[in-house]
Amino acid sequence: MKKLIERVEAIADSMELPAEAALGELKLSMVGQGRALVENHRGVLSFESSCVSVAAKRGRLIFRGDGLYLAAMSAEWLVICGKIQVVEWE
Amino acid sequence: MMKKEAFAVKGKCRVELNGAYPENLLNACALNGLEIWDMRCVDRYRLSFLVYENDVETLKKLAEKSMCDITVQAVSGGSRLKGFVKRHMVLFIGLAIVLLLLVLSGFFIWDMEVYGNEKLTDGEILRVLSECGVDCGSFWPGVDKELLRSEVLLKLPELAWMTVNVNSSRASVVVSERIEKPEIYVESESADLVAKKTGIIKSISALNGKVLVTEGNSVTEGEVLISGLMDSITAQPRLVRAQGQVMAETWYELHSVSPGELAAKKPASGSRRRVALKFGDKRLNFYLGGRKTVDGCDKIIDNYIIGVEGVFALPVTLVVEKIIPYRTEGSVKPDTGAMSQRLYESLEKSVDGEVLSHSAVSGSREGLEIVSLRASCLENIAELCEYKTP
Repeated sequence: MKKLIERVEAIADSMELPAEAALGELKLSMVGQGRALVENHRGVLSFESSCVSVAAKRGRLIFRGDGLYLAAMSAEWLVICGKIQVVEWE
Repeated sequence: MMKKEAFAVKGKCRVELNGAYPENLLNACALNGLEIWDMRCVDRYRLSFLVYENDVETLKKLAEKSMCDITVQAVSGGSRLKGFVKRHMVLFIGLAIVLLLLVLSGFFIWDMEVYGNEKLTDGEILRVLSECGVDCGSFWPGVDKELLRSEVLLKLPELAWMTVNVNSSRASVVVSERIEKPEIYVESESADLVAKKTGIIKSISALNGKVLVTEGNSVTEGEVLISGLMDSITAQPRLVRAQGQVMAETWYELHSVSPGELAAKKPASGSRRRVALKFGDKRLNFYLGGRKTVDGCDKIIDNYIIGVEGVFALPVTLVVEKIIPYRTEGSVKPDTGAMSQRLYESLEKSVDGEVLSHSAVSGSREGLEIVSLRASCLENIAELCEYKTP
């Protein structure tokens, strides 16, 4: 299975396909310090005003800051607003 | 911006979620296609967020499965807006009818203005347009501009071009008047220059032809000044077209007659206003006795077309008539100064030169006031007189 995934990744890479579309990888777009758009998420793991943890296909993405809130959320994307100070991959 | 409108139409609910793992409900909502907005953390176990009003029931079911409690804190828009609309249905229907009428009235012409005319009056052009089927109340999308232009140009040969631009319900008629064709003469056609007035020659400037008069000569009307028949030493006399300018001193005597005494018009008390509404061609008077002829009054009529200037006009015109009575009393003498001034102005227009001197006298005879203006002028008296060909 792991080999199959690796092969699919290699094919997508060779065809220069965007990974978020071909492989469902998480895509993060940030506008300044105050707004982050997360696409292809796999759910919210924890939500507090100082820390928001978002599940990804591989690992999880953690936003740390002050006054964080979810401006909008759907099955494919979510928007985190507030004062984002740290973005971590785990 | 769109989010606000969507919330207003669909209705929004502020919901507080209480549970051990509130994130589970969020993920369940996302998976079930429920959109969540403005989610804020109240404390570790409580979240507050906005959902559409019609998603609340689904949310409650999901909350049960996720072992969370849901409390609806505030509702706005949606069903409340629908309730408001239902309660004020008559008002909204009225508004909708007004809007519909506004839109429909935009397809008809309610105001017409004419631009670019100098010789023809607005009334003449509008009358012809009315004969061609374009008038106040006409359905303008049905007007064929090309056909209209052809018809109007046929009926008004003074026009070189015209178009009708309709902006909402205002029609702008733009015309371009025909420039008159200058007089064209054939150089070979022979003619004399004759005196058009009696006078004493002051200067002669001949360009073609044989000069028959000299400076200081007195000439009478119709006398040949420059002849088109030219002598030749070596050949037969030849006919040419005489050209030149003959300046002569001429005299004029103009008279103006007016009644010796005029009644003076003085304003009287009792001025009043009358109001009427015009719907297209129909008029609704808000006063009685409109058919009576009003004597001894000045009437000033103001028409106010209801609409926004340059944007649209409604088929409603407010007509305000101001009736100012006057009385005639005593008698005044006519203004002889003004009469002589008018005589002088008319003289200046008719003279092809300048007025050298003038004097005006006035006097009364048989109950009439007579003003006489005598003037001496320096003007070109030469006038073409073509030879009649047999």
